[in-house]
This record gives sequence, structure tokens and C-alpha cells, in this order.
Amino acid sequence: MILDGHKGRKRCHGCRCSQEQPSPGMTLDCLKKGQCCRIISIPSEIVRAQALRFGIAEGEIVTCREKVPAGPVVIAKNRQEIAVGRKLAQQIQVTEIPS
Amino acid sequence: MPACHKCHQQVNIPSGARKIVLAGNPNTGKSVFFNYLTGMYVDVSNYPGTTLEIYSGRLDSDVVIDTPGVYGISSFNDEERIARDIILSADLVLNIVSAAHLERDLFLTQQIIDTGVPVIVALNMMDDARKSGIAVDVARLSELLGVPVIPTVAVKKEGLDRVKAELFTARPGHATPGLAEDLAQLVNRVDTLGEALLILEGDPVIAARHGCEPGTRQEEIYRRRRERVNEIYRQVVRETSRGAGFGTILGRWMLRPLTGIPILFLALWTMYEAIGVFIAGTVVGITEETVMQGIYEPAVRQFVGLLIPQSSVPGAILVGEFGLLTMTVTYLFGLLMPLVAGFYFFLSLFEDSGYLPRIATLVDRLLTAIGLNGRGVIPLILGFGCVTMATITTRLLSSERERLIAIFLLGLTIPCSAQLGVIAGMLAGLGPQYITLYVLVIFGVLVMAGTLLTTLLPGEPAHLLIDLPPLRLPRLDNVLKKTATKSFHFLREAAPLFALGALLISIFQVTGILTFLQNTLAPVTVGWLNLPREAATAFIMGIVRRDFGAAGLTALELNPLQTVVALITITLFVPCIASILVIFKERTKKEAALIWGSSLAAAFLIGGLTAQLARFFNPGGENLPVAPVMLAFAALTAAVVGLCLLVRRFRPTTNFPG
Repeated sequence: MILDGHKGRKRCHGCRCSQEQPSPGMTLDCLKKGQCCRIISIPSEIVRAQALRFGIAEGEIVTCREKVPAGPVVIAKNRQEIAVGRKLAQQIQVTEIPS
Repeated sequence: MPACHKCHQQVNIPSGARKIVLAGNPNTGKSVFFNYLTGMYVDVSNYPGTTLEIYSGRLDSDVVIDTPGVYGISSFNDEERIARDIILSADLVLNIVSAAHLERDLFLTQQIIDTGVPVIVALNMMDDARKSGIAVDVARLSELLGVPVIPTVAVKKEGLDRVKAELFTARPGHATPGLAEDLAQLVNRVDTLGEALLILEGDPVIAARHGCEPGTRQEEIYRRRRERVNEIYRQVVRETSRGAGFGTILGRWMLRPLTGIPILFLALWTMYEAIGVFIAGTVVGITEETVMQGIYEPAVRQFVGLLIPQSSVPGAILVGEFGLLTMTVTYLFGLLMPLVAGFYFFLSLFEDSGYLPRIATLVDRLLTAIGLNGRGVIPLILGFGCVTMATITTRLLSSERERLIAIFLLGLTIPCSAQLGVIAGMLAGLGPQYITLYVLVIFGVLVMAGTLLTTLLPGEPAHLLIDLPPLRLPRLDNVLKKTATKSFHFLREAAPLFALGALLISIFQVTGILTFLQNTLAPVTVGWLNLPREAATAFIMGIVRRDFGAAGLTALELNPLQTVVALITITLFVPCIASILVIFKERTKKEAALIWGSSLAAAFLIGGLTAQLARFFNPGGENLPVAPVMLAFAALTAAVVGLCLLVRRFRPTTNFPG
């Protein structure tokens, strides 16, 4: 019954890019595999500090390496890869960088 | 109270000895350096108020102290707090850095340098870096950091002699630009530059020790430090190739459900075949029956018989049915030891290869349903090795809520290696449908308990943010060494408890209490669980250790239905004495008592439910109607989960924006 969670969540729920309103931009979970983006803002202070230690700061450019369906988004900078839980990814503001 | 930080020294330091502290990110090979520097004589001490073990040893007249692997030092979790305190009191720090992971590792290096302590850097895993197409300019790195840098391949012993010889060339390095001015105002109020730095970075503990207000500039300093590290990285690292090796491709496959789930099942199936079938069958057949029961036990009986009659009370305690020298030794060395070693071998493989964080990423979504995030899978998997150890590793979880859920699930549903080995061996003889039933029931209980807890406890699961290290082929000698160390720890921990349990049971037997208990518990064992009344003995043994209880079940004549019921009950049974002691240490007394009591209740409830369902669907029959029982259990699980979802829907939650 838990596996059902995968169903119907293919679309990027909670993603502002599909909404009509003039959005403040897209969030990390909207990226497609292989897309690059610049990180605009990360929500909490603790998450920001931890991300800084891994080398992912606001203003950095990262690539989306993998997206687990309904699960974490894997982003990479140089050789460093980190997995970001989906709900957290929905709160990280980014701008897309055309590759 | 400026003197207070001295009370945090828990390792004995002789006067005049220098404190050499090893520090580094997780999995950079610190332990190899530690073993090389200190040799065989190692002290293990507990850090005050925690169950984390600190290793220390001697290098000539100086003391070497290991620290937990961390990404930075502050107060994010216990490991960081301990690493912080030990590093702040160091005379010099040997910082072990992975050459393949410089961008991440140098952040800690720079933070340690910023504390003003003399530093020497061992640039480890040079071979891994070369293989993945990274060239590091060592001389330039040393120049930029301002401290000596020595390239090493620790597992092949390359460069270790140089590290040892040049240890005392360690010196304070170049701090993050601008930091000196900021620290100048603070440093005369506290003892050291390191403490001033941590206060400025807002560390509440260090600030409180000096009666200062914690600073609010952590983020700004972190950002400047990150910029400096990025600049160093740009200057010293050259990528020689960028091709995706097989490791990279396999790493991706492990994350995608379509390939990742089959890989996970393949890994678990291999483990089952190796441990449940090969070790539990073939190997234990030799060690338990041929060696222990065939040669050892008759010999020890004969020897004891020369001194005292075997039928006397001391004779029964020593070499009787539950004898200290017979049953205890046979179970420990003949039955459990081979199984435990097998498990630790696989767990070490998982740990060293970098597979664990990938499993965490793959299952993150599922685990949020039971109140954990993907990281929670790591203690749950380690629990299959030893629940006690896994309870300690729940420290890596980021919130108290998750720790409580993980510890509860570990204590209730995860059988440890020794127990699982016995269980796998007993189930393997019954056929696949019984194995499926057992797995389904235990998994169902895990899901129900997790869902109930996450519904009842306030708050939301914490977010996943986890580092995915490059996948690498584990080194066999390293894996074997880990297996041997952990198996030895198992023996050291389990042997006295086993002896205690055997002694207790023997005393019960010779005094007649055992028969009395068996009769008293008969309504539960015989009436409710449909087991023979001797099964009560196994449950009494199980209070000491569940694996001891499971081993006790092997001695009973049980039909397939009874076997499955007994195994389900003993799996869900109370955590072993060692685990519950750790739980009492890690949690409040009330929570620990609650965990113990509810495990006991859940074990008999679920075990009995299985027995009663089987009786209901097939009255009088010996064989278990597997399919209807499984369906009934799946329905029960679904009902509990559905109810919880309903409750959560109508409860006001602290939801996320968007």
C-alpha cells in the first residue's frame, strides 16, 4: 500500500513553474535530469550550513544528476553529489541555466 | 567559568605528553592511520554522558586520540560536539583528507586551520583520485593551506611512514581571510583562538562555557570559508579525464527504482543464500554438530565427571542440559559465531562500497511514510548486524523524533545477525511460502508500528540531505579486518550475558522453578500460541538475548506452523539486555520501559494472532493455510495505515509552504 505512493506523482507536485501566478521562480524539484541551475535560496539556517559544508551554496551552479520518482533529487557540483529529499527540494529556489 | 572546558577531557593524558588528534570526514580511512600510529594497545573510553566510544593509544610518549568522522565541527549532533571538544584541546591535528573528495573535505580542514591549532594533512586515497581522473598539485595545496601535506594510500601503507616521521612538522596554517580581525576582539576574553572562533560561529555550548553570547555570524564565516575552499580547489585540482567509469554507472543504477530495487533484492538474496543457507546449514552443521556436540561436549562432560558427579547440582549447572560449559559454549561458538561473522562480512561490504547512502536515497520516499527519512534505513540495516550498535548509530539521525521512532522499530522488529541466522536456518527447511509469511508479518508490524508512531508523535519527518560518496570496490583485507573486529566485540558482549542466562535457567531447572514457570505460562504458550509448553524456556532465555531464545527453539520439536509462530514471537520479543541498557542510556527511563513493555505485548499479540488465524482458517490441521493468513495480515496492516492517514488528514499540521 505504500508503493501506491508512486502512482500519480509523476507530475511535479508543489512545483511553482506550472502555476499561473507570476512565480518567484522555479524550485529544485522542477529540474529535469541533466538540467543545470543556479541556487537562489535555501530555506532553513541549518540546511544552509550543512549544504555549505558539502559545497552547495546559494549562488552556486549545480546539475541535476538523477531524480528518484516521488523521492530525492540528486544534484552535483564537480565531483560532489548530494541527495536532497523531495520536500526540501520543493523549498529550494533556483533559476534554470540553459545548457 | 573559563576552567570548565578542562573537565571535558576523558582520556588520561600523562603530564608532558602531547595530544595528537586524528580528524577527518567519514570514510576517509582514519582508522588505518590510527592503527598504524598506535599499534596494538588501544584504550576505548566512553565520552561522558554518551555511548560513543573514543579510541586512544600511545605513540612513544605522546597520546593519539581518534575522533568520529564529521563534515565540520559545531553542535549539529553528538559526534560533532565530541570531535569539536577533542580538536579544541589538541596539541596538533593530523587531518585525513580524501583526495577524491577534496571539495567536501577541505571545508573541515580549513575550519580546523581556522581554530589556530598546528595541522598536518594526510592526502589519502591518492589511488582512488588517480583512477577517477583527478590530479592534485600537492605542493600548491600545502602552500595555499600553509601546512604540510603528505600524499598517502593508507590501505596499501604508502606514505604512512612519512606521516609518522613528519608528524611534528605540523604548524598553524593560513586562516580564512578576514577572520583574524574578527577574532582579535574576542580572543582576549577566552583561552584559545579555537574557542573564540566557535563562539563567533554561534556555538551555544562553547559560548556558555565562557559566559558569552553565541555569535550570529556562522553563515557569513561558512560562506567565506567555502569561497576560499572553492578557490583552493580550482587551483590544485586538475581533471585528467571525465569518462563515467563502471562505478559511476552502477551508482546511478542503484538510485533508479527500476534497476535499484532489483539490485537491492539481489544483494539481500545473496546475503540470504550465503548466511541463511550456506552458513546456517553447511557451516553450522560442521561447527555445531560435528565439532561442538560431537567432540567438545562429550570431552568436557567426561572431564567434569572426573571431578564431580554429573547428576549433582554443580554438575547440572556446568554440563547439564543448559550447562555453562556445554550449551553456552556450543551456542556461542558453534551456532552464533559463524552466523554473526557472515553478517558482519556483508555489512562491512555495504559500508565500504558506499552503497548505504544510495539505499537511503532510493527508499527515502517509503521511509517518510513511517516517520523517518532515507537516512533512517542505515540504522535499520545495521540493526541486522547488532541492534545494540545500531541503537547507538541512530545518533546520525537529525531529530529526536526520528531517533525515537528508529530505536523503537529496531527494538521491536529488527532481528540481529545471530538471531536472524538461526531464524533463516529454521525457515529454510520449511519452504518459500513460510518464509514469505514470516517476512510479511514482520514487515507488516514494522509498517504498522512506524505509521502509528509518526501519527502519534508531534512534528514531521526531517528532510533528507545526504552525501553520495563515489562507489568503490571494497578492499578484502579491510572488510575482513572489520568483520573480525566486530565479531570479536560480539563475543565479548554476548558471552557474559549467555553465561548469566544459562546459569539462571539451570538454577530454575534444578530448583523446579522452570517446570512451575512452564505450567504458569501454559495458557499463553499452549493455549494462545499453540506451542509446546517447553517453548516457555526459550522465551525466558529470550529475555536475556533474543538470539539465545531463538537458539533455544532449535532444540524443540515443532511442526511448520508452530515454527513460524514461535519465530515471529521471538523476533518481536523484547530487545536483549545489552540493547535495553543502551536504550535506557540514550532515552528516558519512561521511554525505554515503554519500548520494553510494548515489545513484549506486541510479540505475544502478533504471534498469537498468527496461530489463531491459522486455527480459524484450518481448524485441527497441522499445516498452515499460508495464503488466507497472509491476506488477513495485509488487510490488518492496510487498515491500521488507512486509519492513521485518516487521523493525519484531520489533524492540523505544520505544513510546508507550497
